[in-house]
Amino acid sequence: MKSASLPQGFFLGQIPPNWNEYVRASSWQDAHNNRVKVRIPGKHSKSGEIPDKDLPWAIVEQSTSSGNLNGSSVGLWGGEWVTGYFLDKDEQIPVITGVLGVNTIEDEKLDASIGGSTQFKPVKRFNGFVAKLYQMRGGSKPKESAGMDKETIKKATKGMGEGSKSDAELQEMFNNPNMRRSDPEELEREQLARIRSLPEPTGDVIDLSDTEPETRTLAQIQADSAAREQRIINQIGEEEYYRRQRERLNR
Amino acid sequence: MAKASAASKYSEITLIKDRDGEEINVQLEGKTVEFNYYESIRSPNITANLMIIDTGFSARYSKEFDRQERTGSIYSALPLTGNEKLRFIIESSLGQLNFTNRPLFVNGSTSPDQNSQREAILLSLFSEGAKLNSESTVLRKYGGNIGESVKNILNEFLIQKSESVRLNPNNIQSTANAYNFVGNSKSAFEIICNLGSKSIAQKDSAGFFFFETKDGFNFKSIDDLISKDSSYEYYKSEVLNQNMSDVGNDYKILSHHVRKNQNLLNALNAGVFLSRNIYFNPKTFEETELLYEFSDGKLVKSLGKSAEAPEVNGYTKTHYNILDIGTLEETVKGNDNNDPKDYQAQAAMRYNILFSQLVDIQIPCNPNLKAGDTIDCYFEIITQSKKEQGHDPVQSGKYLIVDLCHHFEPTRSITSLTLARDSYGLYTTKNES
Repeated sequence: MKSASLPQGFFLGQIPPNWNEYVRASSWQDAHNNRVKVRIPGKHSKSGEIPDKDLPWAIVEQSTSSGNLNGSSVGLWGGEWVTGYFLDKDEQIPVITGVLGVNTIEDEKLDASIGGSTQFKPVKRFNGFVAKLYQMRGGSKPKESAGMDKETIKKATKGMGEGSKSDAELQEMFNNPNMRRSDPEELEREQLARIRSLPEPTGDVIDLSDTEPETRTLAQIQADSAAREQRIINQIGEEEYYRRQRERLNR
Repeated sequence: MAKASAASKYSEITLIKDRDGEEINVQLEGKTVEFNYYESIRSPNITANLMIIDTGFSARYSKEFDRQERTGSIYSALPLTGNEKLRFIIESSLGQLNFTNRPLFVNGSTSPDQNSQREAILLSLFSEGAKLNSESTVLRKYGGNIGESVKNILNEFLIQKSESVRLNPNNIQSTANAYNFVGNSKSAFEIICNLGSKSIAQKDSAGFFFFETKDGFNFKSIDDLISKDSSYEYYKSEVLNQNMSDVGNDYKILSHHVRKNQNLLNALNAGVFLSRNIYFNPKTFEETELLYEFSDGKLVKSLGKSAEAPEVNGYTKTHYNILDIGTLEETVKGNDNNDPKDYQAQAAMRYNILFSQLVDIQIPCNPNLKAGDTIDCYFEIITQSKKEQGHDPVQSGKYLIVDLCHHFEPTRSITSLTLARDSYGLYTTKNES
């Protein structure tokens, strides 16, 4: 039987529920990386003649933003329709290149295969087994919540305003939630109040002749600037810092 | 003329048409002017064609077409619409072709010559397996020994569908390697033919053929085919034995023509003698490069003395392979699925070496011969030497029947063969190391 639809070697297929390496791998050592099984209309049966377990594992091709610099998991969980191609002439090794956008309007949808096949019917977004700890089993539960210890703080702040604060002061600063994460709205209000309290401009020329000349090298200026930036980040948090920076640039 | 070359006897040639549930039989013994029967190790099914002359008294028109229900030619009156069956027995002095239990099917017909008195009709025919194959869609996953998978596919899609399709389990050879695959909705023949090049009989013995003969389907390795004993001996000689009925004349080569004796550039381009093979493991991202070299004595078995390899200074073809690492496993674990290192380069070499010499011969009709058989051919030596004359020690020897045609006419019957050979010389070599 010949089928004439997609170009030779390409396919359109559906991921069956419960058949990704997150839920099937007992150990991450066994897994390739993010493979999922795929059922391809025209190649695999609609019914259970070829059940989900006999379908081929497909390698998932990711975008360049998933290279070594970033790395990320694929979002294929089950039920998605995907496109791809085969690595071999006999069309036994599929590779998925993309996922088709899905209309999330809830309708009558499956949450598992019936008789070993989805029969190409729509599948619920939250289907299949519930993944423990989101992805992989393995490893014991942490005994206490994550937090920075003294040594880590010391390493992280090495070279930044050294001597200005004692270790005890730094520890206290990080333990104080208000210091670590100030309320952004409150900070903004304070900043606005400071701006309003500035005197009105008089039009006088400011004489800078008696100010002290800059004696630092460019590298020292950059280092001081970086240290100051880090101190601010430590106080208000990285996210808030960059939000303000963006806001300032936009202004 | 040899006895076997004389006209053969059509003991039965019956065309069977199912018309509205009624079976209509038309006897074609007196109408047949030419019959050609074909087998090939490169074809998964038998084919044939039949030329008949019809003068218009063969069949009656149905009432649907002609209220008077007059007689007419089978082309119009039967009418020929394809899917008719042809049952036949053709007997020559050396044997018979008997297709009464497994009739061939009409693929189509043409009427190349027609006048008011008669018409010539050419029927093309195929075996039932070809029809069942076209209706087959292989979906399931198959695993383990490739020979077993071939048996399962044939049983499921052909043997169980028709009583007239034959399978002798001994003709399906087991392989030394295992392979997991899914049918991908391909036809049975397409899958089995593809499996042939992935199958190995033993180390350094890759390459199988899937083909049909009058005895049924075969899935056999090249080495198994060529290592069988020769079924007949044929001689090329300019003289015939005195007595016309001397059976010795039945085994004379009537004509022979060397179609091919090596094609070095094609062989180099196919990487027959030295190929580079790149393998990529998608799990470990490991890339491996191997050179596969054909050297003297590399063939496990050969039809003549060891095949010779020319001097090749560098690889002439690169094969790229992505390894199949547990693609069809139920769990995420899995090792190489039929590692191509074991068969790919070897199969490419083996098929090409086998077809390095092709010879066409014509012999008096011998219906006992089948595609995949081996025969011994002896050609005369051309020499001015006064020493004893004899056979050409290089050309003579064992040949494999690749294509076969039994040709029957009202005055003669002949068998045309395309023979292949991988090496030269009278004596067979077996490399058991």
